[in-house]
Amino acid sequence: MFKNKLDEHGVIVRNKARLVAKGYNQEEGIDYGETYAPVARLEVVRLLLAYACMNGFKLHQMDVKSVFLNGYIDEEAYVCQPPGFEDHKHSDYVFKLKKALYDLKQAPRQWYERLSNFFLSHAYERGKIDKTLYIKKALNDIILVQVYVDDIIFGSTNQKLCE
Amino acid sequence: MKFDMENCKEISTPMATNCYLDSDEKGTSVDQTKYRGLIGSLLYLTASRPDIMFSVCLCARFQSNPKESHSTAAKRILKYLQGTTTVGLWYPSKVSLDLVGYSDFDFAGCKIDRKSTSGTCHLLRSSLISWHSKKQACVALSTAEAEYIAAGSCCAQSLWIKQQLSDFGLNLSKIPLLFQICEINQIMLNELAAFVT
Repeated sequence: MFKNKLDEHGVIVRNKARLVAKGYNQEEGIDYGETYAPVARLEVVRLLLAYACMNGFKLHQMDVKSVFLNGYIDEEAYVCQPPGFEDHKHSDYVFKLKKALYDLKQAPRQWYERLSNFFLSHAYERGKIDKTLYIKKALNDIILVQVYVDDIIFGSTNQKLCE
Repeated sequence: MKFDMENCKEISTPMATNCYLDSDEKGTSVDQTKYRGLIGSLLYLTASRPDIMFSVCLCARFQSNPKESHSTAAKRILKYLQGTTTVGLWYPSKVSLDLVGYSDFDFAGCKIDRKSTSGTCHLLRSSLISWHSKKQACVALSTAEAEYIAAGSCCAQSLWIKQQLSDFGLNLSKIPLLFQICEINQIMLNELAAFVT
């Protein structure tokens, strides 16, 4: 899939290309199970901003490049060879996927799963109602990490905790 | 740019005070795709601009059959934005935290189905963190009922924010909820009376 990124004057600044799977061919129960993935509410981002301002701590932000490629998939899924990149010796072969591709129905969920496991294994707690908020407390300090799909905002009352 | 409005005149309000939009079936139709595109862009802006929330949501109701009058109203919002590009949310630092919820409704503002639109907003001291504008799901039989519905959704949001803040490590004990008190008092008195008998 190809896409041209435009700036505000409509001039092409970057060309993007991305390999995508044909998610519309997937069948529920066979190719994917659950597809639900939580996303943070916008209010929560504002709430965190206001809270950080009031307590005077710094917030950092980062984003994850080509997020959905990071998830591991549990189901068996195959894709055919992408046009233009066929193997001439084995043109009838297909690829078995180990990690997620864009447009797979389970991709967002698998990404959330992987990130969530990472935080939980590093002694973070998940928010009580907001499952995209991760908290770690240490003595009087607290570190808050808010995940909005591929954008991550984090801040702490103690700079050292932000690593 | 997309809507050829970059050189438009500025206007100080997003909507005229006597603005009254209905389905306007006799009006001339406008391009639906373009209207939807305009509404989509405006809805995106409501994430950071609470001031246009109501007017955008009102215009968004006519997407299935947009007419000249709706398009004019939507373009007025663009004119308003043209003059107010410098405003934004302001979050002051190092002040104490307290949460206040406000709610209001528009006295059956929708003349098509006689429903009211409730609006709520929440301020954390002086930082505005949440707002919403939504047409109520049922026809209220009294102003007090409409007020009650609005206050209810405001309260739900307050509880959510309270929970979220407790995750941040801050526990609030009291959250004032502000609305026009006279009608609600009457309901409360009635409920009390029912309870006593």
